[in-house]
Amino acid sequence: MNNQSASSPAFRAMSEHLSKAVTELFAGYGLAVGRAASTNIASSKDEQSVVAVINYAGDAVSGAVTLVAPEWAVREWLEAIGVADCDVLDTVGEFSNMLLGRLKAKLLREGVTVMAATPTTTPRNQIQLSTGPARWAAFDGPGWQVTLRLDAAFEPGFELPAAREAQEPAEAGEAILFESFAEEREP
Amino acid sequence: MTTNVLVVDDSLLVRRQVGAALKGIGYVVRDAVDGLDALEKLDQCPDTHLIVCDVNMPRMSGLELLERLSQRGSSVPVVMLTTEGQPELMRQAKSLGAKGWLVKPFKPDILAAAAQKLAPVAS
Repeated sequence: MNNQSASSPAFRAMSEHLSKAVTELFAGYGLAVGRAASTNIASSKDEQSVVAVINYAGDAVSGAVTLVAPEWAVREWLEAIGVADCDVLDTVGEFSNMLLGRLKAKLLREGVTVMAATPTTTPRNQIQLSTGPARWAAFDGPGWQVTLRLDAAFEPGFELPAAREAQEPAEAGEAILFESFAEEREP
Repeated sequence: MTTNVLVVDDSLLVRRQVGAALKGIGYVVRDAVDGLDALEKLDQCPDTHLIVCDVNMPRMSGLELLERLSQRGSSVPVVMLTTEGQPELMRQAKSLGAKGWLVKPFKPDILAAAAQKLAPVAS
């Protein structure tokens, strides 16, 4: 793997996929979230914020997705989901997991397969993020902002879509009972 | 007579969501935090009618759990509930005996319908 500039086409394309994943994920819970005009990284260091980091790796690309959110915003997500009395760190971790899941599905459609680790979570003031090539983006929700960081290292020549055959993944929210899976998806 | 479901996921949020979706329609729901914990819970409660299981978990993954259940000759239906959507993983799960695959975030009514099909609530 090598480090492409964070402004390289592949890095930008992955970042765009991740941005779409954010809006799709929150929309699924009835929360309208859009790309923020500015990324206020400094505010994300607020000690009341929480962080989830989830690593991914594949043949041609590896890196991490980092989600930073105010604790009180995560509690609002829980209200929207209708599940009370849940742990904030666990919740931000699961959201990062679902975001990476959506990113993986988008990459799979472009011929790139990656595997995910399980998320690591911590209060924001207890983590120092690395300074490697990364793209940050901020998203405004109803009264709150979350920030997202994408780290990626690529094989030389990596581009999207990749030369490999694209695959059609199961969509978020989709349910497949294997009798029908056998008919519809197996070659 | 109760219909018992074991939810296996390292996220408390998901365990709560699944519990809320299934308890509301009459299932008795227990939970486990990973595959190893699930095996212990199954030993404690052999009268389990359905397992709802994540794929990526620490200590023992969902696919490893499927393998262990297969080795034990378990006939409890398992439906995978995961952020993964790769056809290859679905094929692996199916070959290991899983009955279904749901991609997170899930809709409660869809999970409930899958549960009712695989292990109807005892009346």
